Amino acid sequence: MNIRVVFCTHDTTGLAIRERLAFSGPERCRSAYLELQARFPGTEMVILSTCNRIELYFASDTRGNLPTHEDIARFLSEFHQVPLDDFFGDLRHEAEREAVRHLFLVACSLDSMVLGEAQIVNQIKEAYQRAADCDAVGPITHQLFQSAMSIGGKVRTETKLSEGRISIASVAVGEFGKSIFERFDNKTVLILGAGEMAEETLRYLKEEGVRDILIANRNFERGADLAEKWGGRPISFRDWESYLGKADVIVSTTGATEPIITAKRFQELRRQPQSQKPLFILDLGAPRDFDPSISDIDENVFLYDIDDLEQTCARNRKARTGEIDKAVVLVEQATQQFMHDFYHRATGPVVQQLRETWHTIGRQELDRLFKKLEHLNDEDRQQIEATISRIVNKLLHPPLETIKHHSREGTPHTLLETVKQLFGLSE
Amino acid sequence: MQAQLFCFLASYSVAFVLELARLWESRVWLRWGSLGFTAAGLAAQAWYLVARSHAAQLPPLLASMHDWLLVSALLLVSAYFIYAVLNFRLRGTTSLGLFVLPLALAIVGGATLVRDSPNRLLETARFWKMLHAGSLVIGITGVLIGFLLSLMYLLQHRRLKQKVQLQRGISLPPLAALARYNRWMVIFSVPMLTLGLVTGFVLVVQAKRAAAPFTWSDPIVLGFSVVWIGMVALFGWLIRSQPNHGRNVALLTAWAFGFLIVTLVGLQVLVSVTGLPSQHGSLPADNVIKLVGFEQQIEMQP
Repeated sequence: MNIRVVFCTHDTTGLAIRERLAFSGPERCRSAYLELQARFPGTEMVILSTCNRIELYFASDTRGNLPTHEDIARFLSEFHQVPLDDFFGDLRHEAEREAVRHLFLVACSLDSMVLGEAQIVNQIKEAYQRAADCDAVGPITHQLFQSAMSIGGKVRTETKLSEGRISIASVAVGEFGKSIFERFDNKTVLILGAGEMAEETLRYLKEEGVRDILIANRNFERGADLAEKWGGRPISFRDWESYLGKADVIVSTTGATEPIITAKRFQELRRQPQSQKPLFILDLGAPRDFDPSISDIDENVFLYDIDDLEQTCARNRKARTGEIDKAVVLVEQATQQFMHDFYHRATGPVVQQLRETWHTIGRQELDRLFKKLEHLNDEDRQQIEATISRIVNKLLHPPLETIKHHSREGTPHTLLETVKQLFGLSE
Repeated sequence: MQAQLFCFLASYSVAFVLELARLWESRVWLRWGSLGFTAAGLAAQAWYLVARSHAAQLPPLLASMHDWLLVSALLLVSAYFIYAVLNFRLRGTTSLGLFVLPLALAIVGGATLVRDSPNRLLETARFWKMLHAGSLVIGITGVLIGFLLSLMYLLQHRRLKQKVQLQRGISLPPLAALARYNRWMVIFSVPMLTLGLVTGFVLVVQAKRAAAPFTWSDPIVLGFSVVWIGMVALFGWLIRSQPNHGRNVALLTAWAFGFLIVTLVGLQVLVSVTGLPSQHGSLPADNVIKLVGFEQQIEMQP
């Protein structure tokens, strides 16, 4: 078996180069497969291209048929019109066992920017499907990618690598917001400031079904742009306090140097009967936009600042990191099993042919003997047949054990050729 | 019979242990295992009650306080089981067993402490007695569920205010859902308990007509009446209060419901242990003869 992967990832290569080497869109991918198939006929191949990695897998059951690292770099350069010198030093390559192990690590998200992210398995599945649609896959890549998806699922099931949210916005909404409210589609969200963090939080809230969004920003135009993008309504920043009674969720990232509301003023606004409903405040500003003592004003105010959320993120990240060793053990086992199965499959035909040839010879000699010794009864014949079978098996044992031993580390091509020649086995 | 009681007690215990194990290892098979043992326990418990009902020639609700408590536990665990299966993947429903199963075990354990001999007094005026016992047992099951909901609400509220995550493996419903369910449990339970109390008084009147020696000093009637007044006060406050005072509601219902459970089970155990006179199925065997209806006394005469 021959497997090779050439890749660049977020670890090895900057975004500027990765963007230029990416195979974005199905059409671009199809062109790449056509070009690769023309250059390397008879080779199985799969291209995995995501925002964090570009990986090209090649496999062949014929020795010496695989493109080299340099061949693939040249293809990338010519296909994307990117000078070779711009990225050649960033390219990494692995072969055989290490290539298999690399794909399994990727499938388990152990090589991802966000440890434990679940998206990568789908991306691998899509990459394989696209390769299959372009007739670029074969039995080796089929087994390789099926095993990769399987180990990806197994690691997610048997470890806690994907448990717990690890970004501020996802923790805010997923860990805390969803523990306060049953649903968000009937909630009003008030966004104070139009920063990146506010937008990210808004994305999570929209995923939960939020429809009523009010955006107050000091720069009204910028707030209006954000409101238009997310289907919200811009309001004047000066008037935001008048919406406090209406809001169920407040996300604040104003960048103000001191709190935008004092505890006393907040308490006054909360005294109104319609303002006493549960209020979830995400103060994502640094320095804080809300006085921390606001949290103690009444039982229905739930105020979280960056530090509160970051503690949860850090705890979740730590918990995930603690699961890496378990996941790596599973990957090593899966790699070992994959290689064992594959080598066994490679040596199988020779072993079977050797057994059949020797036993056929034994059978032929027995038939000749029994014709000469017609006086033998059935019991005598069975005894002789058993003896000959034992002799054949004992003679076969040393060469078969030798093949088995050598196939633990890879397909023993030379040994298999020798065995074929020595025992006159056909191709 | 005892072996069967052990069967469902053991099944619920194993289910609870599996729920506890999920705090360390959040595996789906542990959850299925827990639900499986819960289902086995429910089947065994139902079988046990049916067998006892056949033997006593009385419905479980009228047989004895032992059966009565077991019916409450059965309803509680059934409600949990159905909800957990129907909402298997719903966020926040995965830890309900941690709350329900210990309470169910406590009730089943409590049932072993009260008298399990059938109360022949209950053979007369069967309709009123069924209504009395049925409304009380349903009301008290609502109280049990409300009590658990209140505890969950307070736990969830505390963790949200303290801005921490729950212990790994524990997942609770959102505050809004807990507050809503809790409110409905109070609104449902108090009328049922009231109906139980009213039908109880109807039975008292009937008992007086039948010349049975009913006494207003029956400790269970007295205790329950006192608790019921508290429950009605809670009910009135709840109806008038703003729906946003979830924590206060949870706190009050936790106390009120907890007090009701402790009072009822405690009184039953007290009556069983001390032999205080009561018409609620916990009588020492020789007293039963003294308190049976007039017709039965006639039957016993030579």
